[in-house]
Amino acid sequence: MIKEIFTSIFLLLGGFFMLLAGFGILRFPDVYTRMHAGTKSGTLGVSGALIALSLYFGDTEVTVRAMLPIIFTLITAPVAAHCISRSAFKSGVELSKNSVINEFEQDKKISTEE
Amino acid sequence: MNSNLFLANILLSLIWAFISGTLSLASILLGFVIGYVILFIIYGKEADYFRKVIHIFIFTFRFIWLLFLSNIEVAVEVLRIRPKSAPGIIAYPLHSTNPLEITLFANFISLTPGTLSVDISVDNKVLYIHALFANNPEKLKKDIEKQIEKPLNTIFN
Repeated sequence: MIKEIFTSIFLLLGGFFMLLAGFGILRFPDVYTRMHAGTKSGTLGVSGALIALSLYFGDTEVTVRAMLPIIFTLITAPVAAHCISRSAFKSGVELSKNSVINEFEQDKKISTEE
Repeated sequence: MNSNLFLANILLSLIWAFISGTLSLASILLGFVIGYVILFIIYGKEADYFRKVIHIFIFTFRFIWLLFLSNIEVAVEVLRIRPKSAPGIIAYPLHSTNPLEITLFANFISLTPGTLSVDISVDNKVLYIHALFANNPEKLKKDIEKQIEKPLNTIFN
């Protein structure tokens, strides 16, 4: 009974964060803010679903196999986000209009003036 | 010295798991703890391996907590009817030159509240970070230094 409650909680949390990631990608104004939603909520969503899986089966074999994807997502998601935002920046994608600061642009100006 | 002690610790935990007859995650973890205590009794304060293991342990839990916080923050921002985010890119001066440490730092930046690593300068000295709330860049830089760079630095030094 308790096992089922915890399984449901983790499964629902995971699903909820995945849903939020989707909403975030729809609602945020530019590439960079969208990557925020994609990386963070995506990682926690996957972790939630896999923790629920390992709680439900509760044996070592399944747990180890469920933990490996969590670790791999933790390692790869930020790298992918970094690659996407970096290539967006290099190819000149503008920040959204309500951005307040861009120190990258300032630095670039200084280095070209020199 | 550090890597030798780490290997010895792993070996002790495996031996413990084999002797207790159950090669499960729990028995390996218990073996690791017991091996850690034994090695600490033998080597004591001579090696900083023991301090590092504790730091890594604390850092892991802090990181999970930060990941959770960052999700709440993004969730609130997504669900707000009129978004009040003030995104921007800040230049963060790196204090370390160790490539592994910089890589880990950039990864942790991407997974913790409101920040995402965008690019690194050619000389590996400045990391450009995209932040969801960049109203106060100086405070943001201080927070990053206190929450992530300092703890990471204690592990590597």
